[in-house]
Amino acid sequence: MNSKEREALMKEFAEFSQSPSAGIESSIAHSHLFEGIKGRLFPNPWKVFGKIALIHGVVGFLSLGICNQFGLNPFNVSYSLADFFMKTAGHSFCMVACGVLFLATTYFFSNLFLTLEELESVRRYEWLQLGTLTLASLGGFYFLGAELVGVFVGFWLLGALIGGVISIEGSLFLRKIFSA
Amino acid sequence: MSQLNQLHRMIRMKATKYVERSFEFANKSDEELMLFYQSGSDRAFDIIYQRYGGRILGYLRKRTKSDGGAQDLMQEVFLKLHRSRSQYKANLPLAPWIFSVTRSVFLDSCKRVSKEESTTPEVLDAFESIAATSVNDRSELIELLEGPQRLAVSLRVFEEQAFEDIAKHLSTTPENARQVFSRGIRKLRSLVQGKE
Repeated sequence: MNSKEREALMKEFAEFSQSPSAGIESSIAHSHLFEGIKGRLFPNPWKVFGKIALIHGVVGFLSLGICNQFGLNPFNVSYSLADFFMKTAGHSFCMVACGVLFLATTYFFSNLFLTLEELESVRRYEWLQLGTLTLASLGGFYFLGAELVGVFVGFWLLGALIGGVISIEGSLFLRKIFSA
Repeated sequence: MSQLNQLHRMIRMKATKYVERSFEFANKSDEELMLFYQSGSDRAFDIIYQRYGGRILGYLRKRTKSDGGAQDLMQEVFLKLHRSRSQYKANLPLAPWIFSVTRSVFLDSCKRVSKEESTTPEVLDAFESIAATSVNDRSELIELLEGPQRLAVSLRVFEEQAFEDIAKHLSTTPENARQVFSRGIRKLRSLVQGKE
């Protein structure tokens, strides 16, 4: 940058600094502008949770076609990932892996529908959201006729929480890289 | 009744704390506020907006000469500030940082507009070629479009109006009017190609 450009930039900055600093005009239009900006940067966590819950309802149900949870097989598939996990490392591992898959798919898919700021809001209430979603999912399975056995439910919960945390953190990390 | 009073007292206490906290924030320096903002405080953002919103809007309004355009860009400025807030270093003054973000958003928008303007003659040429090859009557061609696209294309082609004027007819920003027009031309092209 040569001295002329530097001078022009300084002049521009001085002009910027001398613009009205006492605050933005308090007209209705400007309060709408402020509300719009703030709503985008700090989205309502309840609205975000509503979106996630909706996505989870759809994606979670569809994922039963790939990996049966607690023996639920609504699409009558002949072979699911649960069988593979079971053969690979037994029942306990299968429950953890199925839990991971069930929650992780939701958060990875939600990237298609959530803004970066909404994803940040998810992270702010990460444990609360994950806890609510996993317990609601278990309720859903029970409602659909699954037999929930104590220790396996524990393994599944562990997997779901791990899957949720990994997918939220991973999504946020990738989104930040790509939006930079 | 006593429970109601207790609830009332609790709400009052919370409200007082909120006001005190806001007052506390209002007395902080820009750089201190930015630290709170970086850690996710939306009240710190409110004060930063109060302090800089007017300057940003004034700067952009003076350069874009359009209130709607300046407001659109201001949203972009705050989005960019928000997304890059972790890059701000508290030992540096905040005003130049906000100025540089505002300026870069404005320059980016200028580049976008000039790129779109340079493609406009090509788009018009495309329209002429579509009209010449497939339909003799240009108005017949425009009839294929609907709503704002039809209005934008006919104002531009028949009356040769500027996008600023078209934007007034469409009650939108000139940037949007330009996009509506380009989309209309693209749609015409695909419709005509579909007919052939």
